[in-house]
Amino acid sequence: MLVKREEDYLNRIFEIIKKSDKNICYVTFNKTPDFILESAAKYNIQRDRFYFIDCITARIKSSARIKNSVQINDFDNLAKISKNIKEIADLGYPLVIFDSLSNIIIYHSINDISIVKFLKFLFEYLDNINGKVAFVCYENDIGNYSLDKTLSLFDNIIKPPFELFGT
Amino acid sequence: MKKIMIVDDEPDIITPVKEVLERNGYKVVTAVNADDCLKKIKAGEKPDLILMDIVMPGTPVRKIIPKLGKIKIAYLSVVGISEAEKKDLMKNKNIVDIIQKPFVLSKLLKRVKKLVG
Repeated sequence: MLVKREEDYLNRIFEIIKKSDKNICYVTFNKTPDFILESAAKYNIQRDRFYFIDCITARIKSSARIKNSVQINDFDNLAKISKNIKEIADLGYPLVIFDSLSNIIIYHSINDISIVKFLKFLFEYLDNINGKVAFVCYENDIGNYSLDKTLSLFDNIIKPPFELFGT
Repeated sequence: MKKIMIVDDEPDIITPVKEVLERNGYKVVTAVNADDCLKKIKAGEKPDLILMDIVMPGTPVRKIIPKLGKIKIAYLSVVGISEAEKKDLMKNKNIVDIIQKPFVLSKLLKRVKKLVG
């Protein structure tokens, strides 16, 4: 889990991606795939390494199809998101970036049980196929919502370095 | 007196923006989502500029924009959008600016002054 204090954490995600040789299933709720690809190009990360589950572009644009992406309109539907992650991981994109948990826990339909079920499914499934997943989350949300109950499920929690944000 | 409508579902945004605009001589009205905005415009509100969060619960903003007539709209966006997409959004004549969140209030004020005087 990558814990964020500020918005500018994409460079940390790209560091994770660059250290891996796996292709990426990027689940996005707050950046358009086009923006992520534009930013990734600056890090010399090839665009064909990405497959997107796009839960944002349809909210702001009427036409948004890019290659290697599926759009999800009911973005609080974790079962549907799980199903898509599984399918895309099976296609050869087993490094899952989930950006972010903070964007989904604001919905009333998401609760402790559904989040834990979702996380457990993903961890178990990705373990079986030698995949990995990184979740992004605002630091404040860990205490405020149900996420504190999920912390034991994570292998590693990466906090941003203080100097990054000058605090 | 110029009138600004702030449309955002986050009180943490509405409150300080409203305060700074009012202190600088603007009349401010608010709405909590795109549907609320449309309802108020239909009820007779005539803002000179709408500062509108680009993603809010309820009807997507993009579906409301065509119903707002010729009112100038500046998007407030927490969403990461590519340069090409920004240009694409700005092709809509109503959209006069895209302001990235988080923003500094003094800079927002400058942008508002530039847009409506």
